Amino acid sequence: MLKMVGAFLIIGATTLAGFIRAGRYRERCRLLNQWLSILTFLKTGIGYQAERLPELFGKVAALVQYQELSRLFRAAAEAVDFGSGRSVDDIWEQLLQDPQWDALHLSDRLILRELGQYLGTTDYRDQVAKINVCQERLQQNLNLAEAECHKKVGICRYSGFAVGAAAVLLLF
Amino acid sequence: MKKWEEMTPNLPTEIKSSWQQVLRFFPVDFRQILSGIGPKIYREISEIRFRINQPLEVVYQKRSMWVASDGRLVDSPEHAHWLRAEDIGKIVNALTAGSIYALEEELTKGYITLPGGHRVGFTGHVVSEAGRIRLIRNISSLNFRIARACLGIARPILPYLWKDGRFLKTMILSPPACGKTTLLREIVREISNGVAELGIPGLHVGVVDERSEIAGSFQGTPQLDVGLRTDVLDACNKGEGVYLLLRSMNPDVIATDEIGAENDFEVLEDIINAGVSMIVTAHAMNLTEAMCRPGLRRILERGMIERLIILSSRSGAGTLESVRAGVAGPELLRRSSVTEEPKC
Repeated sequence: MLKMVGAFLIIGATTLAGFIRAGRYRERCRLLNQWLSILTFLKTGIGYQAERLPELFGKVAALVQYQELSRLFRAAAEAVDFGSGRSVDDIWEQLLQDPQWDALHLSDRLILRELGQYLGTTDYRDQVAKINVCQERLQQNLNLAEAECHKKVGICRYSGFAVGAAAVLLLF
Repeated sequence: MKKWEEMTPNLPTEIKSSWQQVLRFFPVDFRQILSGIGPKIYREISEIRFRINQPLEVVYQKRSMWVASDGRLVDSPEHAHWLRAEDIGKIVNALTAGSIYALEEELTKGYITLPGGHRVGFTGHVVSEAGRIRLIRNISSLNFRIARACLGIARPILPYLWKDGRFLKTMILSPPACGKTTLLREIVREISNGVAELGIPGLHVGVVDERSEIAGSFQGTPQLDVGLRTDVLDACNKGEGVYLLLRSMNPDVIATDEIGAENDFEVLEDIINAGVSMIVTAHAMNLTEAMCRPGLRRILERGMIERLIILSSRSGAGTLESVRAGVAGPELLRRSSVTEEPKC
């Protein structure tokens, strides 16, 4: 009986680990998609409406689907407005360091970080151009991430179960 | 004729802008430096100037002074806090809330308006396109001009601007920085709110605020008190703005700043023909100088102006030289200071 419980626990744990691993692939795709929508929104706000970043971040906070991301952008909107005394670059960097973006790869973060260095500091044409470049590069990363996701999600799930089963067979 | 001093024993000058409100626009390190300035001093600071590789300057009691790193005002630049290029970048970033692109149009005019009506002038490298300024980049100097309301300064002049139940067509003449716009704003506020003692009912005033100076609008909302019945067209050129107001807002009085261009004559003529009164300002040292400017001369010679207020800075900004009944009319009020020290 004890062996049975142990076997269940091992298989359950490894299967769960496999699902978590698979979930991270999907989460990265979801976050990249979310960033692409945010960048489109920023581009429109900057290029066509000349809205200031505090208002734009506030609107992004209302736009994003997840409460945690909304909180991040609300905080960024407050931080970038008069009175904070902090630079946009600094605020953007802090926003990207939040654990909410853990599923993003370093390459994704670097692209976004680079945008943060220019955000708000040049004329609107340059801002739109910089956002376009950022979007194109993120889109490439998303394409790769989706391909990777298709390939690896199933493998992760099954391998989690398989590793657990193999361990049980070896142990018992 | 009464003397101005007899009529202004104690003007209710209200200093609305607190130093803390001003400091919040700056980066933390400059906030610390400027917060070292004592309350008695900051009430009389009208400008804070920043220049790359130069010391931090304030205009205190109309005098240029340097600011030390601990906030003391010093006469010698060696003891002052010196600014680097990064400092200017940080300050520009803070003053624009990290959104320079959103202020491109204002930057081409050389200034931006902040909440509270404060204005920041910029100089730097000008990028032109088709002969017009497209933007100013590599900003090298900043002038933060602190906006302060001077409530009550127009009250003694108002009886001269109101006759037979109507507001007379008025022009304020003065050289730059003599308080024209401040007086204009106060007159607008008073006639918009109405002055029961003088029998002035609240009038609908339309303001065409081409350079956001009269109402100090930030994102279209007036930051300075321009009265209860005032409609402000912000950052709109006079020509278009006046017609828009006449068509849509049915104003009793139209107010606008700094007229004097050749085509302003037609604009003012249209206001008058529409049965609307007006109050305008213009740059000129005195009436003689005004008559030398072709645009102004045309307006003045045609008798479009019923009251002429002439200001100077002889005894400080806002010194009233005279109030005249038009160009050829008699002098109704003689020289004095519109505001008492400390200036608002």
